[in-house]
Amino acid sequence: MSRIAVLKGGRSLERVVSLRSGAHVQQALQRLGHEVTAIDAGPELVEQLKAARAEVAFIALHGRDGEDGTIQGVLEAIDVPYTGSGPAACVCCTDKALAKHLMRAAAIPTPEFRFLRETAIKELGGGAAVADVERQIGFPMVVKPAVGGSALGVKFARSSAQLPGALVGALSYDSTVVLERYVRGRDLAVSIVDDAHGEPQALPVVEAVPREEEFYDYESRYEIGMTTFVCPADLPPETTARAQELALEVYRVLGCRGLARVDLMLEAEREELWVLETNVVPGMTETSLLPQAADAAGIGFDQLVEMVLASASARAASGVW
Amino acid sequence: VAPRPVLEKLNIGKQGADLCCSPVTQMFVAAYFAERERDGEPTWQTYVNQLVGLYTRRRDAMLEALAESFGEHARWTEPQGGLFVWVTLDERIDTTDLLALARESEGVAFVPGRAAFVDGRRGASAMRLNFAGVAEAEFREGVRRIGRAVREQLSLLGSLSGPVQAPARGSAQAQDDAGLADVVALPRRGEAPPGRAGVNNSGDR
Repeated sequence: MSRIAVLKGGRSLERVVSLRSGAHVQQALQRLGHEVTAIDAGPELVEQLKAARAEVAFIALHGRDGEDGTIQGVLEAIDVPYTGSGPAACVCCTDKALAKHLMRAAAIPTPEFRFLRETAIKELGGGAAVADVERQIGFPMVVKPAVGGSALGVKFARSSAQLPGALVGALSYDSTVVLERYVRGRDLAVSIVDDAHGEPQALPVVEAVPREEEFYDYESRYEIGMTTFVCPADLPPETTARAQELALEVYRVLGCRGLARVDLMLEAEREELWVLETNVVPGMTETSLLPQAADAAGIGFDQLVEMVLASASARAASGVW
Repeated sequence: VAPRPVLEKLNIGKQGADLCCSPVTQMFVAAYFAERERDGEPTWQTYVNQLVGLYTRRRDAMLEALAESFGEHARWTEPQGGLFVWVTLDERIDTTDLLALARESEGVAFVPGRAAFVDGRRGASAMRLNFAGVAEAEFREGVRRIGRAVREQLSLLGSLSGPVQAPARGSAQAQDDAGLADVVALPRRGEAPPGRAGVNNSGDR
């Protein structure tokens, strides 16, 4: 039995999901017999952690602060072991431009992309480079804020005329944007959890199926209620194996630990797999993809929580952050 | 105020919801409406007159603030009643994104136009600003800050695609919004209904 602080809520755009993830994890930890304090991450965070004399922090904070290395930095400063990835992996996964560069360098297939900073457009005449990016990547194109946990600000441009608006929209959320080739196909997610030996294990593939097939409407794919999930995804065994293998490779390249969810696309016609991004604090609600995938692998939620918790303990024991 | 068939439906709906108001509440309301000022004018009328004066002053202040901070970069309604001004920007600006920027960099929020449409898609370049609920100095400051965020986005658009034009009347977006303005611009009692509602192209003013 340990004294565990579940960190949830916070100030990110995904606060509501995080509160649900946190509550779900909290219940599991209590069932497992731990002494649990739930903390809504705010200005009192450090004091609350100290008051709770937490031995381990279970991070259920999505998006800003929880996923970008901020909380991890604080926890290391006060010497409290925590679940999941360390600060460097958090930074790499949160920044899509950085993650894509690292993946490309490691020969992991990720859709063709360029990135632009707001300062480049404003101060270095970067606007003139957009036409070149159009030629290199072509349309339709997806424009995303480099940092941003939810689908907010993700834009879809079908033509040159739509690109300036898409860029300005995405730049409202972050000062860097990624311009990416749109891959039409099936949305897949591979969740990964470290096993008892600290070895990452890929869980069954989940497919997100949009209820209405609106091929060109990228934004609606992320609207709640517009998507159903199939797990395990109905795929040929070799595609499943390849997706899991790629996800594990990404997990290692980006330096993830404990748990993560890797999002991929299976491109229509070409049947090729492309890695889009990695989430270091995936949802842990009743309906989230990682618990669903674990369930399909015969790992119940309590067991899953115990496995994730073990990653924090292993980190504390090894002294390696 | 509403046509009879609508009133009938509303009555049925209300009865279904609360089995009629309690007699005590009805007595409060009856007493309130019976009350009169010393000069014989009903109290409620005096109150409404005060509000009309207040809202008129605030509306005028809001329109002035918009002219100062948004200038030629937007057009807006001149409401003849109600509590809100409907502002329409360059159609390449999505006010849901603008809200994220305004909140983060200017510490100000507003209702993006999409919230006014059932499909959540139209009204993407518009915003609804309230002039009734807060003091004049506050909404003037709010409009100033939103104006800065708008200029920031327009300047970026300019860097990406050349000088930005003021939103033109006649585009599909503009027609949608003009249609909405028709709904909100109700005629004042005793006045002839206005023709086309008060959507202003600020360039005409």
